[in-house]
Amino acid sequence: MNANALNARPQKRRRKQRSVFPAINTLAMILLMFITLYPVLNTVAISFNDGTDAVRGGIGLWPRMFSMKSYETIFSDEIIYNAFMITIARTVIQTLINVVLTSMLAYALSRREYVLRKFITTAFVLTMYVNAGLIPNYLLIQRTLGLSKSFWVYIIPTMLSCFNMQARGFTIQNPFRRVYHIRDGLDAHMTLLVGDREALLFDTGYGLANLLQAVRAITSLPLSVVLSHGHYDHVLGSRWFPTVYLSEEEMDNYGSAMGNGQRERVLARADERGFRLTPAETEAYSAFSAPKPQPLPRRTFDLGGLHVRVWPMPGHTRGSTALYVEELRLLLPGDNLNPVVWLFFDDRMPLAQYAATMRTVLYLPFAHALCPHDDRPVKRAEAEAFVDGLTPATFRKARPVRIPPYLEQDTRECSPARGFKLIFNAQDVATD
Amino acid sequence: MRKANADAVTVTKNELNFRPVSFWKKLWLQRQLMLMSVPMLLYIFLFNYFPLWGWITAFMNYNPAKPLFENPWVGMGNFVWLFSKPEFIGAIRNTFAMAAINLVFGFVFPIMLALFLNEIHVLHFKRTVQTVTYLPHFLSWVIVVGIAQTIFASDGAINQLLIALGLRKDPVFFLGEGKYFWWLVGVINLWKECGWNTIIYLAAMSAIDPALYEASEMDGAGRFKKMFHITLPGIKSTFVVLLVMNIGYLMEAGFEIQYLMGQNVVMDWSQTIDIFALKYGITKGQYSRAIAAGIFKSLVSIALMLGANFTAKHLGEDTLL
Repeated sequence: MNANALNARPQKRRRKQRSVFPAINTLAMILLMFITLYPVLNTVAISFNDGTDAVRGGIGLWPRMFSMKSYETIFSDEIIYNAFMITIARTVIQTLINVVLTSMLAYALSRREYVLRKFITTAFVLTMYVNAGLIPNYLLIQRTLGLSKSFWVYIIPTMLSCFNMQARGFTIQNPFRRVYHIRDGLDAHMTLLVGDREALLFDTGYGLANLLQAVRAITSLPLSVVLSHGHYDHVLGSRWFPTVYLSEEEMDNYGSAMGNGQRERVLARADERGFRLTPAETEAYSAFSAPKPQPLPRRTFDLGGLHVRVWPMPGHTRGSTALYVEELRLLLPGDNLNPVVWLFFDDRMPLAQYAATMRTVLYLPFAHALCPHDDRPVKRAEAEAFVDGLTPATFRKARPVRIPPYLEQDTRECSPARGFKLIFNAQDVATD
Repeated sequence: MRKANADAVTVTKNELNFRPVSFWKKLWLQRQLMLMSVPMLLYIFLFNYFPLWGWITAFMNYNPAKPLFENPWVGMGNFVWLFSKPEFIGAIRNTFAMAAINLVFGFVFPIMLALFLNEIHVLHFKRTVQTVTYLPHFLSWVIVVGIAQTIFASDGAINQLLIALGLRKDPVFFLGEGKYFWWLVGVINLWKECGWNTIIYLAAMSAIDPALYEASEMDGAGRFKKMFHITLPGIKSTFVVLLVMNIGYLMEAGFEIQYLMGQNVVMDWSQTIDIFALKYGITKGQYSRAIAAGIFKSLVSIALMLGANFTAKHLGEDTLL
């Protein structure tokens, strides 16, 4: 073979590569950095943009309508400071403990002659794959160590950091200071507000499990119970309380909600969902007689440090009522605002009236709303988007949908805003 | 031992007596080491092994309101229920699919990125690329999912790009259609973790003897020849250890991302075993069935990990155990 050719060819090829490859490589890396940074910068730009304008979309790397309002809202909310302190304390303490314990162990394991070396290594490697799971861990923390509701629950078992408190049959979230959003076994939510002197419970859910006990686990202050409206998934839990408040227009609804038909429906659903009741509990559920509600006064409840205003919201039902917590800028809209709003029962208000009610509620300067069929607080911007979407155009775009067991109704479904659905009776569009 | 005998002069009395020393005696001699490892050991026994006791409730019809042993035994009933439920089979499929996508993406792209980064010789630029690409690792899932929902929305950046390039006329509903969900999770995971995963390969690459590169250059190897014949074999053992670890995680498709992104419309594609267990255990109160699902997951993970470990051992590679 020709020695010259052998030497020349690779060299030529190499020179060619040298001239092109670094350039392509550099370009590729710049593109990669752009892909990595763009989404982050886009989010930052949106955060500095006016909230209502941002919903229109189309913001790139620079805000279109500059506004610091999002930041003002966040930092004016004192909860963030508390959350921040917990985060910092947790990180510092946990890191310290972890570093000390792990480095001691690591030193021991670094000594090859250590007789327990193999055993400990295996025990540790296995923990990466063996996990007893949520419930056994929960039982350990709750029952055996009695740690729940204490700060140390964040430090000691890192695993359990994000789980909620549980009372029997209820899941309790604490989305804001002094506010407990309680979900019952069949997914109806009620909200407990705890002031300095008094507490107030809004709605009572299906009433399968002892709600009074769950509330008493949180607070022992004197308690008022207010119902948003008279439907069975909000009022059956009244059985656990001596008195409840309800708007006078809702008394008929309350009466029919307490009927045996509804209770049997709830029991059947509980059974289907695997929510187990003892025979005695089932019998008690069929037999109880609920208190006769007191008419809801149009006053502000002063719980001590929390002022709760009663705000009528005719919509989902004629006498639906919302509560507004002034200090927390929190709205409890009842069934008028949910991921899925039902507006087709006999005592519903017409669509136009509902839209007007929803527009009116925006006059309240609320920052968040807690809905009876949603775990998560709804932000004001989301509520605004929903209200903006309540237009004849949206209603006309609605599609027919069947909601068991209300199959005799000609129901339509539309989406006023992302994440929300509104289901209404077809007659309402025709008349509007 | 042999060394001690050969060099008898320096052997102390203690070491001469070493041969017949029992396990317990050795343990006593190493009591300081033991003391150092005890706190962490206690910790993991309490929080990782002790809760395994709760597994027995998978064989019961468990109601937390009752004392443990007053609950009725149901044998394998909960497992039979699980495997007769198409929803659970779907959850297994989703878990494997998403974990497999993550596994492949999580190896291929970081290694490629590391190879190309390794070719950059301007140190500042290399550092910048590295820092920028591992930045998303430090964002929490809540933020990442928020970003992803903006970017992949029907009026988001990706759809705008697709339309601007003329690839699509109408926007793609990435977030609302089940068929995209697995890949979306894969891509988001890749975006978040790719840079971070690169670090370990770059470290392995920097440990390769430069003489090997010089020698191969003398033999006329080009850039890509060196990549394939020196760099890649140089990081092989790192790769194998990570592979063994990650195969054990094949049932671990992640929890937060599916929990945060899975809406009802994509539930058939987004529900993993963990979310299934959360739904039945916490929301519906069916503790025993949720625990049975968790046990199944753990057992498969251990089997996978041991299998991978065994294979690696027989291929003559470093292993985990």
